[in-house]
Formats: sequence, structure tokens, C-alpha cells
Amino acid sequence: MTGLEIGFASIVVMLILIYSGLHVAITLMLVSFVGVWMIRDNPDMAAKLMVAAFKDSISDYLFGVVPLFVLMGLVVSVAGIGRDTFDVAQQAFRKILGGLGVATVAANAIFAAITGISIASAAVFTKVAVPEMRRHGYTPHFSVGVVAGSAVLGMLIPPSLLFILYGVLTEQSVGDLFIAGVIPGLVLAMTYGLGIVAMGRWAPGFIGGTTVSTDDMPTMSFGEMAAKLAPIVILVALVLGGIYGGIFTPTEAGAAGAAGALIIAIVKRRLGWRDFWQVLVQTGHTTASICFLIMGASLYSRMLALSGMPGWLGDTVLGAGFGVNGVVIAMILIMVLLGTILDSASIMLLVLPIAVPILIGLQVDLIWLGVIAILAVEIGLLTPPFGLAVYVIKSTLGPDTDITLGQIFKGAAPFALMMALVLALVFIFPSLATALL
Amino acid sequence: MTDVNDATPARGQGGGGDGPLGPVVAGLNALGSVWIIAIMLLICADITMRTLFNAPIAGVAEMVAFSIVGIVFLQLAHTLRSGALTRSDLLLTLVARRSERAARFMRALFNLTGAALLALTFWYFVPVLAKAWTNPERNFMGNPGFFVIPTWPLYALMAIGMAATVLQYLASAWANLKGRRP
Amino acid sequence: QETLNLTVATGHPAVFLWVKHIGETFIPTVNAELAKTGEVEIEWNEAYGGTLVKLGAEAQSLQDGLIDVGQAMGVFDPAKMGILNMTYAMPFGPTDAKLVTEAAEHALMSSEGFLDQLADATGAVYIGGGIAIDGYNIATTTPLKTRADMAGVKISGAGPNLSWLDGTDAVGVQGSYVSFYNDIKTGVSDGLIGWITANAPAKIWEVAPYYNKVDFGAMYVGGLAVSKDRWDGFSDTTKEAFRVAAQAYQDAYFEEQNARIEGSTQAMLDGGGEIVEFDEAEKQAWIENMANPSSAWMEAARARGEPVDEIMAAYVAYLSDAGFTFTRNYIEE
Ligand code: NA
Ligand code: NA
Repeated sequence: MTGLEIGFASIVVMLILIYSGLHVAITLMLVSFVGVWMIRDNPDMAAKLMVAAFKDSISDYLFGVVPLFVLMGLVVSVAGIGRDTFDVAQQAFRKILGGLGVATVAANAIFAAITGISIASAAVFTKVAVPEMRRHGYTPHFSVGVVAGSAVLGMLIPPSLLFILYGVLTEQSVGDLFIAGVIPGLVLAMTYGLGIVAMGRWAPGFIGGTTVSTDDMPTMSFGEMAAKLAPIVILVALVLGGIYGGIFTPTEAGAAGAAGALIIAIVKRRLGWRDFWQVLVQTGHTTASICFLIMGASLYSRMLALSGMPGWLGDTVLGAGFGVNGVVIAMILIMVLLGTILDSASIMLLVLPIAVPILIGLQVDLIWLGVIAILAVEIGLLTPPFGLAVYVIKSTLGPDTDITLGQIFKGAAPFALMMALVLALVFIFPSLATALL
Repeated sequence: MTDVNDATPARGQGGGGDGPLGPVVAGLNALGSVWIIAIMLLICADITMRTLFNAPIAGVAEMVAFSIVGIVFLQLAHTLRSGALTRSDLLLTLVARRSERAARFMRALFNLTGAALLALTFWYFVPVLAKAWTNPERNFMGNPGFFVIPTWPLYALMAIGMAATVLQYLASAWANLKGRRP
Repeated sequence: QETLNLTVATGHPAVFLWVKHIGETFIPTVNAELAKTGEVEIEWNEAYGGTLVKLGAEAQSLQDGLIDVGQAMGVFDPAKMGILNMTYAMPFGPTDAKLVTEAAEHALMSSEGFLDQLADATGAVYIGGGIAIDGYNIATTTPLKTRADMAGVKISGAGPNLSWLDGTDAVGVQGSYVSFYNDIKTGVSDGLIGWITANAPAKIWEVAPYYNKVDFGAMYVGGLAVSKDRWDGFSDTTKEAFRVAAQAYQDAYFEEQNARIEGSTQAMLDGGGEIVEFDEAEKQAWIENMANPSSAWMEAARARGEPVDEIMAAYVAYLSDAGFTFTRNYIEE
């Protein structure tokens, strides 16, 4: 078999093993190990590459703060801060079917301004929003689908690690890229909001949320609402103020936010020792589960790099002599396809170095292209079989949840479609990305 | 107050009946949990020292990069034990409806696969650890004169974590075969 | 005719000149050289930008045989390749990147058998193609002319560069080009230690318009390396082809770097940036007051059993012959 054939065959084998129920991380590692063995005809080398992936895939400040963002979300949840916030949101959106879904999207858009990684958004809101939405009668798949979909906002609204990576790979100003992401991020948030309202009207069975009759609910007083909102407002102000006031970086915000949430919970006497310990244990489980997956994904993308598949895709598809639009569309399709099996950063590392020189030759606006690229790779967060946002939600829900992976993918599907819609809008109207520059 | 009982661990595949493995795995996990808090405090201390006293802590980036790997490997076995490692339950559930035994056999097979793969990695990792131990001059993170941390303690934790995970996979497979887990 | 399958990989993406010219210059030259005799043909598999090896793991990957050709870089892999960091341990050196590289490569090769020793210890054979980053300076939000101007100013930089701030009351904040722009924009730091051809694509002057010429000097970062097992299996003509190509790579790098320095400086001035000359007497006082930047690095090299004293003496002597003397004698203190 050629490297290319092994690359494609690995995808089929991976699909079978994942759906059979082998742990996803183990699947990725096993397929990569065998793949490298076959490509290089050398099992020794395959094992050494696996060791390398274990040692250095996550050894980075960026991954180091993942547990802290998870911890912040769990504390907000266990201390009842999330519940209070959603009680108020329920009150505010009580006239709208799907109101809590809209509230989750809005909250995510705000949270996006304090986090640079979608994993953090997904972990936080799984703990904060999902129990509340289910308490209010929403279907399991919609509750998690909203969280998965709106986690994407974390990468589109600045700060964003993917924009930073794109800036490094294409020599574009990170400042310009951040500004370019703002309008598309808000458009995506609004599209989600409208989409939820539309689903509430035309597909109420999909979202649920109708079992609580809102008319006979006691109306909260303004003071009551303010008291319930105070903790989350203080936390958001602390983190946003810290970042934009130059006290700490978006990466360090994980630590500051987790500490802030702990202090608020302790001051409000809502966090006992036993709860605190349970929160820490679960933080560890989510972190280990996600980081182990990332090691597997890193190994898999290294195997693909060895197989020569990304280069082949670039040469045959991108280099086929299309016009500008043809090349951009081809790049989008490749990114979305790779998004089904790879993590966002790996896709950008594999595709952009091939696509960008061609597109520079065609005089494409690289800032606009950056927004297009981020949207395209982030669709992959929601698509099976390897959808990182979905996996984060699954592991944050914990082992005893009744929600299956399949339900999360199902719930996320409408949001992936809405992303594709916004992607098409930015493609057709480039000024959405460039207007603020 | 919302309950965190859905986070309660150790109701998983290997739970109970496996001698000292349970406490060991839980102990490693606890160490990792404390470590997470330590990282939080370290970063907060760095922010405070930099902002208030113009004296940032050297090497925080290296320490955090070092720590996350250690934390993950310390907690991997317990994560597996509590059933929090990501997998698709679709086919396993369908099979279990037809035949409990077949589903248990599949789980055992998958657990043995995990054990084999990690055991292989462990086998290739031990020489790396040995080299880092005998030759720390070429195995450290950071820069001499600024901040330096040797890699052997991290590699030792990784090796312990891998070994514990291999044993947990084996214990889980044994439990599957004995019928303690559907 | 024999066909070799070689994998070349780097941690940096091809927007970095030292990666770009692997694909653009090094590989074509090797192919052209080998075609002259026709004994050997090479099938290249190129994997840049960390798609196969992470930044800093190149030497380890060469040793493990995961890759065949890569880069040996001191500043990104201080544990394995620390000896290549000599210029980082000798700040306020020459600003001419080509001269610094010549001196560093001369020093490495002048110590008899040292490169073989390094190859045995790391599994990576240094084949030349050394390159240096253009001169390091400080870009900030306020102009810096004296040490008093620097007091309390937070300056971002990679770990080893921050040691250079000793002797002033500036505050070193650890970071990298990935975070610099944002950190300065929000105010986490007030500037950075960096170089003009990296400042330009990030448009650093938008947030830190003053480019203060303190002249830390150009910094040699390393060169090209081949996995030792591979190299030992090469015929003499193949080895020669690689050495010729490494030289062509180096020449192409410096040629484009010079053009980029000019272009970047112009882009900065056009974009509202301003060059500030740091006061010479103040700079001398700074250098006098700085904790010795060489001692810990030399100690680490001695611990690895490397003839660092000999290498440094050769480095300083080469520069001295070329007309440059360090104002402070770091290595003999
Ligand atoms: Na964000
Ligand atoms: Na996906």
C-alpha cells in the first residue's frame, strides 16, 4: 500500500473502531501506530512516535490552563451561581419558546470575550447550562447541542487562539484578525438565536422546553433578580476587567477566573469541603479525558503528515487551476472534511501552508480568508466521528449521564448547519469580516 | 445547591474487588487534583507579583507546561476507572440488548487493546526515563541562567501513570470477563 | 541508481525564512548536486510547522530516526543543543547576522572533534547551513534612551532574553511572539525584546511604536542537521551534496533576510513606528551592571562535557579579528 492509501484506509478503520466502542483516544493511537508501522515498515519507529506524542503534544502553557477553565465552570455550577443566572434568564425570556437556549448563546458570546479556547466554553456551559435547561424541560439533545454550538463563539470572538495560530502561519496582524472576527462572531450568535426561535416555532419537539408553564410562575422582583445575578456579574467583570485592564492574559484568565469563582462560592457559603473535592476530582477527569484525546489526535495528524495525504490533497485539489473562488471553496471543503477526523489546530497546520501561497498568488485578502478558515475548521468541533466540543461535553457530563455521544452530535447538527450558513454569508459578503478594519 | 453526585467516581468498570489497585489509582488521582490547585495558585501568584510588585515569577510557563502532562498521567487511570474516558456506547448498547455476554466480551477485548497499546508505549518509554535520569544535563526544560527544571521527575510520573492505567485496563477487562460489568 | 526516502521536518512553519529555504533552496540544491553523478536520487517528504515534530523536539526526533533531516537549534532546544546558544550568552555582540554566524560556526568547528562529539551525544549531525536572527532590540510604548526610562517598564521576551534586562530596573515578562501583540495592547506588558523582521508581520508598532536600538546583537540560532544513522550510511558524494546545499541554503537565507530587514524597517516607519537611539554611555553602564550572562550557560555546557571554554575563546577571537570587541569580557570574569 502507498502512504496515501494507508492514510485513507486509516479513516475507514478509525470510523469502525470508534463506533464499535473502543475508547476514542486509544482508537486514534492504535490506528496511527499501525499506520506509521505500515508507511515506514518499521514498528520501532511507530512506537517512538507514540512516545513523542505522549511527551510533547500537550506540554504547553495553553493546555496547562485547560483544567483551570474547567474548574471555573464546575465551581460556578456547584455553587448554584449558574442556576441563579438561568433563573433570571428564564424570567427574562419566558415569553420565548427556547428562551433558555437563547440565553445560553448570549452567555457564551459574553464568555467568548474572556476565553481563547472553545474547550473552555464547552466545559463551563455543560456544567452551568445543561442541568438548568433540562430542569426546565428541554430535550437532552437540544440542551447539549446549544452548548456545543455556542462553544464555537469562543474562537470567533477575540481573544482566540486559532486566530493567533492563523496569524503566525500567514504573517497577518493578530490585532486585525481579532477585529475581523467580531462581526462574524456576533452574526453567528444572532443566527443561533434566530435559529433557536425558529426551531421553537416549527420544530418544538426537537427542543422541548414546553413542560414548564411560564404564565403561572411567580414573577421575580427586580431586587431578587439583581441578587441572583450579582455573583456572575462580579465574576465576568473580574475576568473581563483583568484581561482588558492589562492585569492578566487570556491564558492566565483561567487561573484568575477559577480563583475568583472559588472565592465567590466560599463567601456565599455555597461550597463545602466535600463538594470542593468532588469538583476537583471531576476537573481532573475532564482534563485527563480531553488531553488524552488531544494526544491521540496529535499522533493521528502526525501519521497523516507522514502518509503524504495533506500534500496530495493540496496538489490535486487546490492546485487544479481553479479561479479564486474555486480555490477558496476547495479549501473550505477540505477543511470541513478534515474537521470530521482532526482537531482544529492540526487542520490549520496541515492545510494553510499549502493553500495560502496559492491564494496569495490570486491576491486574496488574507484577513477575510482567516475568518473563513476559522469558521470552516470550527465546524469540525461539531461533526462526528471526532468532534472535540462534543467530546468535551460528554466527558464533562460525567460517566453516569443518560446523554449519549450520538444525542450530542444530533443536537449539535443544526448548529453546524447554521455555521455553514454564516460561513457562506462571510464568503459572499467579505465586508462582514473587513468592515471594522 | 446543585448536587455533584453525578461526579462521584469509582462506580466504573473495575470498581472493587481488585485489591490495592483501587486505593493506588485514587491516590494518584488525588495528587493530580492537588496539583491543579497548585497551578492555579502559582499563576495567580505570578499575576500578583508582576502587577503589584514588578517582580514576576521566573519559569511559570515551563512549570505549567511540565505540570499539565504530570496531571494528566496521574489522573488517567482513575478517569478510566470511573468510566469518563470518551467512547461511543452506540454499538455496545445495541449488542447488550441482544446478548449481555457478547457485549461484556467486546468490552473486555477493548480494555485489553487499551492495556496492550499503553504497555507497548510504557516499554518504549522506560529507556527515555532512564536516559533523563542518568543524563539530566541534556534532559531539562527551561534555560540555564533563567530557569531550569529536570525532566526525569515528570517522566517518572508519566511512567507511573501509564503503568497504573495498564493495570486498570487489565482489571477492567477481568471484571468484564467475570461478569461484574454488563 | 539508488533511491533514498528522506523525511525533512521542522517545528517552525515555512513563513520563517530558515524553514522557507529548506524547501526553496536546500532540497533543490541537493537534488541538483546528486543529479550530476546520478548515483543517488532522493524522494523527499516535507513536514514543516510542527505537523510531524514539535518545536524543540527536532534533535530528539533525529536521534529516534523519526525524521532524517531537520534543524539543530540551540535557543528552541537548550537541553540537547544548548552549546549552539553561545551568542545568547554573549549579548551586546555584533549586529551583523552573517558575521555572527561565521564566528559561531568557526568556533564550533575549531575545537577538534567537537561536532562529532555533539553528534554522538545527540544523534544529530550538524552539516552547516548556520543562520542567525537579525539584531535584537526593544520595542516599547514609550521611548527608551536611558536606564531611567526603563525603570518599571514591563518588557516581554522569551526566557533567555529576559536575563539581558538585568542591570536595569525593567521588568521581564515571559512570553512569545504568539502573545506579544495582545499582551502589549491590553497592557500586561509595555514592550518586547524582539527583532524587526518578526515585528513587521505582527505589526508590533501598532501597539509599541518606539523601536529602541539597544543593539543586543544578531543571534546565531543553529543550522541544518541530519540523523546520525542516516548520515553514516551516506556515500561521500551524497555527504558533499548535502554540504554544498547547506551552503547555498545559508547564502539564500542571508540574502533574503537583508532584503526583509530593509522592507520591515520601512514598513515600521510608514506605519507610524519610530527608531530611538539608546544612549551609548547608559548602555555601557547597563552592561557593567548586568549579572554575567555567560556563566550559568557555560557551567551547563561544562556539565555536558563540552569544551565550552575553547569554543568561546575561538568565537571571541574570530570576532576580534573581524574588528569587533565586546566591551565586557564575559568569559574571563
Ligand atoms: Na474568545
Ligand atoms: Na469533527
